[in-house]
Amino acid sequence: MIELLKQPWPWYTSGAAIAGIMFLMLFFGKSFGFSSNLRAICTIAGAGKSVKFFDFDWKAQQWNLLFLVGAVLGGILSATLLKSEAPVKLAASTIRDLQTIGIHFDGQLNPSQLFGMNFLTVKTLVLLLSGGMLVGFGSRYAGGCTSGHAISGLSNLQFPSLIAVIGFFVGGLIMTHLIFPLIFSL
Amino acid sequence: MKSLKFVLTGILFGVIMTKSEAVSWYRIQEMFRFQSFHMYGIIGTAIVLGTLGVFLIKQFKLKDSQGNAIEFKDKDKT
Repeated sequence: MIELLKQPWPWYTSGAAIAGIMFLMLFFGKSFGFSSNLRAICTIAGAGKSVKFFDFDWKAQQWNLLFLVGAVLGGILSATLLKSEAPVKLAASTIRDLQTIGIHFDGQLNPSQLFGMNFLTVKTLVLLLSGGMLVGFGSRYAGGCTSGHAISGLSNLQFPSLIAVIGFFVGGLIMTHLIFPLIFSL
Repeated sequence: MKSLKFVLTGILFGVIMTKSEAVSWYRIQEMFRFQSFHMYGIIGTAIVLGTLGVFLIKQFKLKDSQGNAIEFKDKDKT
């Protein structure tokens, strides 16, 4: 059983399982959306004193924060006990393309060159922090992220979600094809 | 116990996202370069099954674990 779980899961299993998570949350009387947690965390940190948006009862979101804690634990579990020894089966063309912008494929889930402690430079730190800020701003500005808009929103045929998802995707394309070559050639 | 179910669902979600490699920076790059179906397959399957399920929940007016009707909030347009 453990062996079966250890290997990378095919897309259809994962897609079905993600829909399953959304239904579990609905069955618990909640909704599936991750980035609402960012608002709650800002409120806990005291942002409600100066910005009205953060002045709300975060305790009502406690369930979602617990879900977030669980997700982190699940990630750790997958990176240790359920870790697959085989390298990620990334497309050869992607490996080549990344090579041209100076990112070397190391077979892990994420390049240690960008996320590894050994490579912590001012540049990677600035990149990670500004990326995080863009994600935080964007998901709140759009009223949701990939989980709330793409999965929950689109499943409920929400037009604003469709616009948001198209926006996320176009943003990703611009970042990948226009901005990455600039950032990584610095 | 009431809180534990959210932590457990979260753990399951974390495992799914990691084991499907959806959390992979490399996989995301592969997606934005249109070089693999993997990520599209994951999101596509989740949305198709999600839409079907939400439709059925509304159709049969299903209730949640506390016996309340499952309601869907419309996303804000502004």
